[in-house]
Formats: sequence, C-alpha cells, structure tokens
Amino acid sequence: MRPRVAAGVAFVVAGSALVAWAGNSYARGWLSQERARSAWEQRVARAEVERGRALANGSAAPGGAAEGAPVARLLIPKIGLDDIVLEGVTPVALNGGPGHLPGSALPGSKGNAVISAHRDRHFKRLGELIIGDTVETQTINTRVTWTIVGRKVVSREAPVIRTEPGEVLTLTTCWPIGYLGGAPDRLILRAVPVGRARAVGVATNAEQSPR
Amino acid sequence: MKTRNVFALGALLLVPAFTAGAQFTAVVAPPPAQKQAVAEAAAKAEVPRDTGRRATLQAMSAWVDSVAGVPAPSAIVSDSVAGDVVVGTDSTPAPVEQAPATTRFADGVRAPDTASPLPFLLVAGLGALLFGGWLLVTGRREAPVPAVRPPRAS
Repeated sequence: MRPRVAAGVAFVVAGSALVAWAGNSYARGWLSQERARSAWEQRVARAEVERGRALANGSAAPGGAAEGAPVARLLIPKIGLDDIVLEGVTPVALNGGPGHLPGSALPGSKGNAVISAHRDRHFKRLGELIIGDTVETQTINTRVTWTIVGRKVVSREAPVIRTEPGEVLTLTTCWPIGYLGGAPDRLILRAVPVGRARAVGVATNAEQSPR
Repeated sequence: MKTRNVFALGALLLVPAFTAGAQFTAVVAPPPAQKQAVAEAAAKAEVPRDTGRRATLQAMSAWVDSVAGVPAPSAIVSDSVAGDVVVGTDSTPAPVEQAPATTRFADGVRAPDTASPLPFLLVAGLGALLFGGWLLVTGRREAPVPAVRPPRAS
C-alpha cells in the first residue's frame, strides 16, 4: 500500500470514529428526550388521578426528583421549542434535554427556577429571544406563562445565579451559540410570570394519550 | 505531494483536534504566576524581618525555596519582644482556585456548564473524513512509475 493511500485510510478511519462518536451522542440524547417525554406523559396521567392527595399542595418539592427524571415541560413558541425538562445539569442529563438545576425552584414555585441546555441542541435558538417574548412552563400542577424581562451575556465564571424572593425563571446556555469549542460566555435570560393556570390534561404536541 | 508532507499535514489536522477535545473534559489550571509566589514570600518575610537577623535569613531561605518551587518547612524564630513564634513559611504558592462546575443551586454560583465538545468533534471528524477521502482518491489516480530496464547490449 502506498503511503499516501495509507494516510488516507488512517484519516478516513479517524474521521469516521469521531463522526460516529458524536452521532452516537446526539442519537442517545434524542432517545433520552423521547423516553423523558413518554415518562412525563405517564407522570401527568398519574398526577391527574392522584390530584387532591399527595401532590395537591403546590408543585413538587424542589430537588425531590431523581437525576434525569422529567420534572417539567418547556415551551417557547417563538423558536419552536417543546421539550421535557430533566432533573440535573450533568452532561448525561443535558444530553437528553434541558436540565433543571437541582435545588432551584420548580417553575411555578416561589424562587428562582433555573433551566439550562446545550447551545447546539435544545437551546440552539435561544439567542433569538428578546425581552418581551413569551415562555411557557408546565409542571405537574401548574402551567405558567412567563415573559422575558432580562437578557444578558456574561462570562462563564460570573456568579449570575441568585436567590430570588419572587417567582423567576432563568434560562441559560453557552454563548456565542455558533462557537466551536468551549464557549467563553453564557447567555442568561430572566423571565417573570404573567399568567398561571392549573395544569389539566397536559398533553404533548403529538396529543398522545398517556400510556 | 510528498509522503512526508502528507503525514505532517495529517498530524497538524488531527493533533489539535484531539488536544482541544481533551480540554473540554478537564479543567486545565493555568500555572501559578512566578511573580505572585515571589511577592507572597516577600510579604511573609516582612514579618520576621523586624525581629532579628536569623528570622530574615530563614525568610530568605523560604523565598529561595518558593522560587525553586520547593515547599519550605516551618521555622521557629526568636522574637525580640515575645517568646518563640512559629512563623509559617509554607511558600508553596496556593493553586489558582477555579470554581467547580455548578451542579446544585446556591446563591452566587455561576451558570451551569453547558459547553459541549460534540460540534467541534463532528466538524473535526468530517474534516478528517474529507481529507482522507481526497488522499485516497488522488493516491489511487497516480499511475505507478514503470520500471525502466536498461537496454540490453547485444
């Protein structure tokens, strides 16, 4: 085999390995989100049945969900986002969907609800949101409509997560969105509630009946 | 293109990709500034300098150790006013504190680490695939050089 051909083979093998690894991660993330959606539907169905008993008093306690468990649904009509939020911000959790920072409030509860996601997947269009845009969250018990009141880009080391006395939703992702590599900044969106409704018969876009 | 150049170009393409990929999974603390270590040791040396010659010399030793990167043992110096005073001469520069990744809510923490190496790895992989394909195609097109036999002397 000529050296040039050998080098070509080596590059093709290495490139294929990288592409396969990245593709596998994306595929596992997609599957994880689908599983989370199914689990969320089941959870909503159970909550409907058991409403008035264990889960009657407000949203579930913050931090009570296990890592990777679906805790909410996030809808941002402007950018066509409809994803199930998973508990945790570890790489595994973030690979499956937007992650709810453990210990922060759940959307609809008093306090700061922090939701983060990767800029190359679920929050790839988060940068298109501006002040005044609408975000909707659904937990087991409440459906809250939020309006964005703050948008800023900070250094990744900046201490931006703060305790809030009232209800606040904080969405974070890496910035710049199109940056190739470890992004140096973070995009922080802050929203406050403008409407609230009891979450009844929450269904996904597919309008599937809970299994 | 010479074979040597092909390998060199390949190495230039792949090595930075893997190196950069590693940086996503590990926090690389910048090396502590040498000047800072010297300043810290000099500041510590200010304390015993007023008390006696011996203390000053020990502080100098600590200063030299700090420059060389060797942790110096604690020294007991005689103070002119009080009794023996233990002066901490640990001149090892403190590591630069890097905030750990945020995994739980607390007031004043930074935003969760949402950096992902996947886009970069995908682009690097596609680049390597294309380059490798180009090498294969052009390498096979090159006709083998026919062996030229010297004419037989009849």
